[in-house]
Amino acid sequence: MTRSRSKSIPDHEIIIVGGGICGAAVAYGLAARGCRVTLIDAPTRTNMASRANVGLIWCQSKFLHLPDYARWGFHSARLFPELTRELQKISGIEIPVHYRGGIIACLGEGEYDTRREYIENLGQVLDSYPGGMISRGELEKKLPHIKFGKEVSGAAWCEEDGIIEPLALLRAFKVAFSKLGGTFIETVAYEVQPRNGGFLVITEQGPLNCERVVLAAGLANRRLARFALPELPVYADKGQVLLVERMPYVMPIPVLGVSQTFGGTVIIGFRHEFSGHDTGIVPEDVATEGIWATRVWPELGKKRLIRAWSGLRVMPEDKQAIYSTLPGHPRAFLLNTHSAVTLAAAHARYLPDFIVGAGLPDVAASMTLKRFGYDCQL
Amino acid sequence: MKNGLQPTVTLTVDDKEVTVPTGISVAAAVLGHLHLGCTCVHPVDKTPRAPYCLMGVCFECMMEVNGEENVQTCLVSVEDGMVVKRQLKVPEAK
Repeated sequence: MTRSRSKSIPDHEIIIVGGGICGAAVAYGLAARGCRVTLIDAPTRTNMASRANVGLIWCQSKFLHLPDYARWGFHSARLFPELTRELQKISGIEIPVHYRGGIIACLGEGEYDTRREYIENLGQVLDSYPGGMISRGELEKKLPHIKFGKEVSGAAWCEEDGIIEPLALLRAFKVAFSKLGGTFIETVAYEVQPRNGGFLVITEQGPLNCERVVLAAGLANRRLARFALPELPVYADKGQVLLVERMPYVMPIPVLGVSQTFGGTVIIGFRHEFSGHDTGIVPEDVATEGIWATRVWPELGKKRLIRAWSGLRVMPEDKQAIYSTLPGHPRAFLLNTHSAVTLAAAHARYLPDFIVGAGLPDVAASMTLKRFGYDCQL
Repeated sequence: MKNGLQPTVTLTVDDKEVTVPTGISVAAAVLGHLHLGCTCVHPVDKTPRAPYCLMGVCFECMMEVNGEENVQTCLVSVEDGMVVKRQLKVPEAK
């Protein structure tokens, strides 16, 4: 690159590296505001979190230790109906979704009591909490076509949870983004380098320069942020799931860990394993999930398994999302979350403002890298 | 060896006798020799389905075999006297 070339206006105003649900939501939100955005994503690989999950919009029974993060989730869930209406209109893609609540089944009295205590504490910390415990009888009324196992003592219930077809959501974000004038490039990003107040994104197709860069590449953010951040406290959290053959649709309200998809299959899984980037399926491990699922819903024991797979969640050390500029680089942004589905509506609504320099909403203001001891501008 | 070329078996598909080569799958038998149009319906949207992947993955070839419902017919070899039925009603989830 010649000197005069490097001094000219960058080719790209904003480059977002990473086209999972997080990056695509922010790309869509920025394009809707009229920003000139380029979204870069690597060709599909199945270990990517946005392509390996069941699509729960899940607020309940989480983050007693992080009340703002819990509120942020509820806020996003409430923005979802408006987001999906808007996305369907712009993209023309129908997104299967239910906003009919969510259920955590409890086995035995012990589990029920532990869950009740957690939710009571959460209700006190959050002031208001749109859910609580329900008896086995109430559970049966909510899902009348499922015969629960005899150990099921009751459940936690929250009316603000839901389920969305995650691949349809991702596709709708990307199509809407393109229709709003966004540019999509399918290539691998290797590295980001600061250049003349802007950034150079080194890709398989060569370098791309931009004024602002947004790192939304999940686990790969650790590599891409290295120019400003020697160590990003984000880890791979492996899940292994079982997929059960299609059956009639009987679960419009998802049950955590054993959720029926819109296509009629059932995804079973709840494991969290920290084993680096290993994506192997361990039969003994998935067996524990299958055994649990048949205690909740015995009929599953008579069904066939279609396959098993694993995926890597993107887990910040303290389990809270990171929305931050990078130390010393106020125009470089880092986004990392393990709840990209639940938070998609909040991300599409608020993070574009953050990227153009208008700061974070109050509830998310503490979610920068400052909490890990880094010095960064808001 | 009815046709003088290769051994065959005879099975019943929806009350009709069908003679096919030995060793093939039930899914192959109904696809290649019967043209039933569809062999089962999708459990959720009830659309007509027929054997597709022929390797145990897509679950589009479910039929009733010897009285057992919801059998993946691409994974079952034909046998003499086998009774196969189309599955046009979805087995219940409970």
